Amino acid sequence: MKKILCIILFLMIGKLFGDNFSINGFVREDKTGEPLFYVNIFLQDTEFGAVTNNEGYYVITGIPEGTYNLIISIIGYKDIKQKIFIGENSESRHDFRLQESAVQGETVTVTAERTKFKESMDLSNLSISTKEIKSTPGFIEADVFRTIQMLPGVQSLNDFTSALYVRGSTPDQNLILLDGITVYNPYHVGGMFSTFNTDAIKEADFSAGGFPAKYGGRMGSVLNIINREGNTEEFEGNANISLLSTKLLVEGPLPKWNTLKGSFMLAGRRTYFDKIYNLGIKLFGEEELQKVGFPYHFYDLSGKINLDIGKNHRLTLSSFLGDDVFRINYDDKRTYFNHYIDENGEIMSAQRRSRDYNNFDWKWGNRVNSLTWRWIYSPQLVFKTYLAESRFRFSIDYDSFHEDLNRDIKTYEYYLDIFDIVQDNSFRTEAYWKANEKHRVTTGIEYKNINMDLGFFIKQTDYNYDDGYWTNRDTILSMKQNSYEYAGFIQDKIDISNLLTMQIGVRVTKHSLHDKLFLSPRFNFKYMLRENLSAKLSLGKYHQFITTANPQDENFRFIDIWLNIPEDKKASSAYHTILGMEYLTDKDNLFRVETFYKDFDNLLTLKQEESYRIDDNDGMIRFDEFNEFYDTEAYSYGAELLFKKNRGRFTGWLGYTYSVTKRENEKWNYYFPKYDRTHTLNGVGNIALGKNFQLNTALSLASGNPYTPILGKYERWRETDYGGYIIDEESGATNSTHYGSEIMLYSGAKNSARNPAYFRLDLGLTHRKETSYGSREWYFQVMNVTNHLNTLFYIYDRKKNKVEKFGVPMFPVMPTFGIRFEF
Amino acid sequence: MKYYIFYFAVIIFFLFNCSEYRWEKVTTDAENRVNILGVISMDSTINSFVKVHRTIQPSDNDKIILRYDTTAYDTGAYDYYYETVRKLNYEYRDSEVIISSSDGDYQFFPVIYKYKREFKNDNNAYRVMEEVMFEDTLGIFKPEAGRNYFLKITTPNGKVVTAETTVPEVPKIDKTLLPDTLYTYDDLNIHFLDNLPYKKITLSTKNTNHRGEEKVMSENQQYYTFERLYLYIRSDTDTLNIKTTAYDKHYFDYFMKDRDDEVISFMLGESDHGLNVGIEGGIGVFGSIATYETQIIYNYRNEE
Repeated sequence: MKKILCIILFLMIGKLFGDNFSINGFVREDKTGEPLFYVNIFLQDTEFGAVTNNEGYYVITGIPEGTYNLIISIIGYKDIKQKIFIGENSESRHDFRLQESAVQGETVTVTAERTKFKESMDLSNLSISTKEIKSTPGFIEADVFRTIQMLPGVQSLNDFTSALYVRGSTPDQNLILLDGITVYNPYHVGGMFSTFNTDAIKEADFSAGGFPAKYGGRMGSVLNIINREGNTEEFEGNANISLLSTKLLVEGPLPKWNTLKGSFMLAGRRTYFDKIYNLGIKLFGEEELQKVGFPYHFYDLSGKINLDIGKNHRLTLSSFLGDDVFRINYDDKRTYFNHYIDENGEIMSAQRRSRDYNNFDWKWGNRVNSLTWRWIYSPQLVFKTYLAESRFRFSIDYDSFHEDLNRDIKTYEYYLDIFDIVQDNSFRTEAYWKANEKHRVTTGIEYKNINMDLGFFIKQTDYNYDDGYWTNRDTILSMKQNSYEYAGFIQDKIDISNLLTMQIGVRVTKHSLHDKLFLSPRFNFKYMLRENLSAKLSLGKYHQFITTANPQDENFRFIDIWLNIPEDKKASSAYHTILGMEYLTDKDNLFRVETFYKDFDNLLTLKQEESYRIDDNDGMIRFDEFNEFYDTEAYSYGAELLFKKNRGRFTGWLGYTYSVTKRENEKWNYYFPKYDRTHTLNGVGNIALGKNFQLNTALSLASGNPYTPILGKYERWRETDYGGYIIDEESGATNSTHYGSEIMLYSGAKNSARNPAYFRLDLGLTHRKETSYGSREWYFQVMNVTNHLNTLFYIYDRKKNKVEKFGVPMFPVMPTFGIRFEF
Repeated sequence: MKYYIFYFAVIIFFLFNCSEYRWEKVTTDAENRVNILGVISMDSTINSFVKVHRTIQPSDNDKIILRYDTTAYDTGAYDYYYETVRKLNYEYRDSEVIISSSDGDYQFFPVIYKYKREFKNDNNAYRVMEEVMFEDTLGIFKPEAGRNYFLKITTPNGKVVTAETTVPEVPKIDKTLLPDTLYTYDDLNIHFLDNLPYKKITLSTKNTNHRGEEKVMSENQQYYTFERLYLYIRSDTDTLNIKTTAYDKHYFDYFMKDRDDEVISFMLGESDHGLNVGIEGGIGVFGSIATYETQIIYNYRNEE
């Protein structure tokens, strides 16, 4: 019996690894060496095939020995057909480079829609290419977040913020990744722009829900920004000037040495208005103005180095640094004469010299560094290990003093320091195992340590000539939190049959502030109703251990103040239920309809009225630790329609969303949050006009945001300080007037009214010309072409005792232009 | 080529289509709500009364002109003086107001009161405000401490509002702990005899025409010390009036409690959803107060 079992086992193992073989490799773009995703690779006239993943890697297993025609195909590139022998002692690694191709009369568009349609399990997922990001008209310059805002299921709060509100989730529930590493506060200019340089982006992969077990820590959505890897073949670059900033990108191969080879990419961006302004002031302005200068600029720097060590190892060093800087420096030395009368009664004068120094330095930004090691252990098994740090820092330093230069004494000194720092250090390792053609397993572990430091300090020093120095140092707020998180996940994509595919997974998390283990199961199902028609279902539970202390009815999301969910509170969670259907036409046009339901538990709304108090001793405002919350529940549901045209002279998408979101806590019964919009219609279109002109359009039509209406006026009674009398003239009776009143506004239920509907049409024109050094492309855009008055919020005033309101508008019509060079 | 000329023509056309930004009236479909102020008073300086008002639309005037009166002077520089008589637009003047208790029902009737004020720079023209308060004009209503009173109001348009209150006990203090004479900058200890939850102490001197010192006691607080008490007196000696007032919970919650209103507009300040303490079918308050007074001699002494 034992022998029989051994033979069976041997045959099974032999079946796995004996007579069958595998091939693997990378598919890259020929010109740049960038990996290509969702490329279709198959052995002609067989059932063996695969698609490349988001690193351009593929593996086909279980192939019997023999000679085959290997076909590599993706729209937009020339197919490759190659005869290969697969068997004992044959080379299993096959890397390919594809050349771009253009169909006459059509825009060259790379699309992997067909293979992605067949392979992808993820509902609510869309990949946006850098071309689509750049061609979507935006506010002054292209922005990845503003492009994502045009997708179904995603709503924007208003024109002034690029933050993403996804299917009822707030921005702090989005997992924003840069090459797989978490970024906190990914904004510039108070949220108007994202912190990501579009020139450095290769692709933005966005999941509005139902994302798999490898992603954790957030309940809403996942946006993974994948930066370019750098051209492995030749040096190239591009430069870009818009009304907002200048950009420069350079990339190229690293010098080869033995088995080492690689590439680099370096991209930088900086606003320039301050430089121009300061130069102008220096040349033409007054001296007083020259002392101050234009106080604001932002910059960001992205870099990536890929180093291939042999065929199976790759090290990637990825860095990002971005800051917004608001700085005012004023240093004034003066000489003046002090007049006084001496003991003889004569008027004397003495020269006095003084110095007034003020330096206001306000910085906020991100720093992300990661080292990634990819190891192809075997064709079927790939490991990927990340070591990363991500830091967000917001700091205000104000330093001011007055100095008596005659006596060399500082008579007054004031120092203010406000800061919010989030430091995230993480280690993660993942394994991708293609067990066989039916099972693709992904598993991994992660350790994350997060330090949060929020503080507000004041130091004031006064000098008295008689008594000397007197210093008052005060801590208004000091809140440090340190937490760590261990997580492990496993998911398996199973081809149950030719028509039915299932992806099941689970994520287990242990967080230092909570006693229990958190289980997050994820289920995705896909059934091919026909070759071009699929039905999908996604169910999942998601946990989140951090939250933000932002006002929930904010109009401007200037900064996110991150906090750990306190120990005495439960971790937040959400259940996603998504049902959808997709249809892909023969011309790769995508129709998608989805419905979703999200149930949120254990959300927290900061009790802002209890986060500060007046100190009875000195009357100063003190901020208490932000640990008083309303326990909040919420739900959202809706339906989305998407039509995406990927090929032809006209490309783009049209999306409609119907969505309802409601929140509830002890202070307010179920209400619509500020970001809820019932109906949203978004469309992005790009039309190739010929002669290298392209017209870009973006259309947005949506329900207005909710607001709390004023329903009327009433008298709120109060006791008066005086005890006068009023007289009834008829009877002479008197009554005291111990009670007066103040006229109060009487408001309706929270957020029970809606602003007028939102409408905006943006148009842009682009012209591209090939030059001797590369190419030149200029663009001209007009935002809000119809100058439609979109209401941001209402302000009220009393005019002759009548309450009137004024709708503060969002962006008016705004033209913008820029130019881009490639070399 | 022709396409982009066409599209840019469209752009140029639309650029001149400017939207208007302007102030607009705030209108609403919300129904007006009845707003009540009712006080059962055992304070000799305050009669029991009820005011029956309502909420109004945001764009309505607060006051409306009732009439213009011309009246002859008996004496004086002018033969006539002129009155512009106005009333609050919030009032429900013809309501039926009944207060009930175990000893019977009492109807309160409307009494019209007038405030008269001169126009600026005009010596014979006056603004007159009329106000209606519902009072016990028959003089038969005698509130008692500890008794429950029920209010029922029927407005001219048929709205019914009800409320109830329990008159608190008189807030007596231990007079044996009071000095016969208190000097300025001395401490004054007040100790309540009964354990009443909501109460206030008011100190005043004969010469002051406003509340000199005041302390709202915490719930169930029994004693308080005014440290180094100083109230202005014109001469070396005066009378210090110590008045204690007890409230029912409704009155206290409405008038004394801190609350966080929602700021809808920085220009208009705070708003709320219509402050209501215990009123069924409306907003406002129906509460009761009881007072106690005693006096001691108050003498001036230099601060040491």
